[in-house]
Amino acid sequence: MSGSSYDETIQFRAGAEKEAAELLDEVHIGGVNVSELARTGLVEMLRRSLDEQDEITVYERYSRGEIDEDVARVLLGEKIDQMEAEKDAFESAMERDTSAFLADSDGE
Amino acid sequence: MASDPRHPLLADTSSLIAVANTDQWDVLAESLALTTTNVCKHELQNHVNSNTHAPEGSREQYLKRGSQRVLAHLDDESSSWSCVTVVPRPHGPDAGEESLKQELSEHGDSYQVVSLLDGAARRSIRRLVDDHGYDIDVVGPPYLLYVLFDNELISKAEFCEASGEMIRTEGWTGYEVVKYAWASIPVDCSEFLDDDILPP
Repeated sequence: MSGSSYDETIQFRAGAEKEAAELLDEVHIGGVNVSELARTGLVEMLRRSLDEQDEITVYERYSRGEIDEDVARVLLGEKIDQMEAEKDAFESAMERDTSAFLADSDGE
Repeated sequence: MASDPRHPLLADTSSLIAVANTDQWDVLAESLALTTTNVCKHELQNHVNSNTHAPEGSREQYLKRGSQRVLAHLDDESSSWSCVTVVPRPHGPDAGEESLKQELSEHGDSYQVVSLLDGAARRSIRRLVDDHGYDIDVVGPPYLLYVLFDNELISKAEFCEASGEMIRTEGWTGYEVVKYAWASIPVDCSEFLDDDILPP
């Protein structure tokens, strides 16, 4: 998202959210890593915000090299690896003699 | 039904519905010899029975129309498709997938390629295939169209358009299966399809 306002850090005015995080840090045994919590929460919300058409668009841009893999991975997660596995499976199936699947040749 | 032949191509409910809704259905039904299970057939019948008043253009209508086409073909005496009976019969939302697993566990050597639309189901059956050491590829329904294309029964344009239709109707699931098919062949479908299928 170059040219946007997300330059180096993502910032937002945290009112009650910040107080809630501080409260949790205080009451939870051993405290909580608020930064890690925010990062994980952001990834989760980003993925949840994606509809199917967004996913397709992101993958298209990633496969054309317009988006870095780590960025695509934030949004698509393991779906990236699954696409590769599916490609391998299809390529393997393509090596078969497909005429064996035709009605005429069956049972011969 | 126990004497039904086992063809080397095995397909599940959603995979059959996906191809039945493409423009290449008639060629596909006539040209391929494939096998499905009695449980998948039952799922097809359920789609027809439970969607009697499905509105035009709805997902329910899509499932109903595809199921009707497949059932009519399975019941056609002259069809080269077969339906094998799986015992004991699995139940529940994944019954079709489970029936394929049961069939493969007992008769895995009869099959070369299994087609399923759902990605999680493919991964699950791939694990079963690995565990049994079978020589079986587990792929999405575009492979059924690819068999037609590879045997020159449909053109490249027809292959692209039918696959593109799957993306439109199945969202990410359709995209996943079609994209890897296109990447593998490789076939450039950009000249046949709108930009909304292949986003800028």
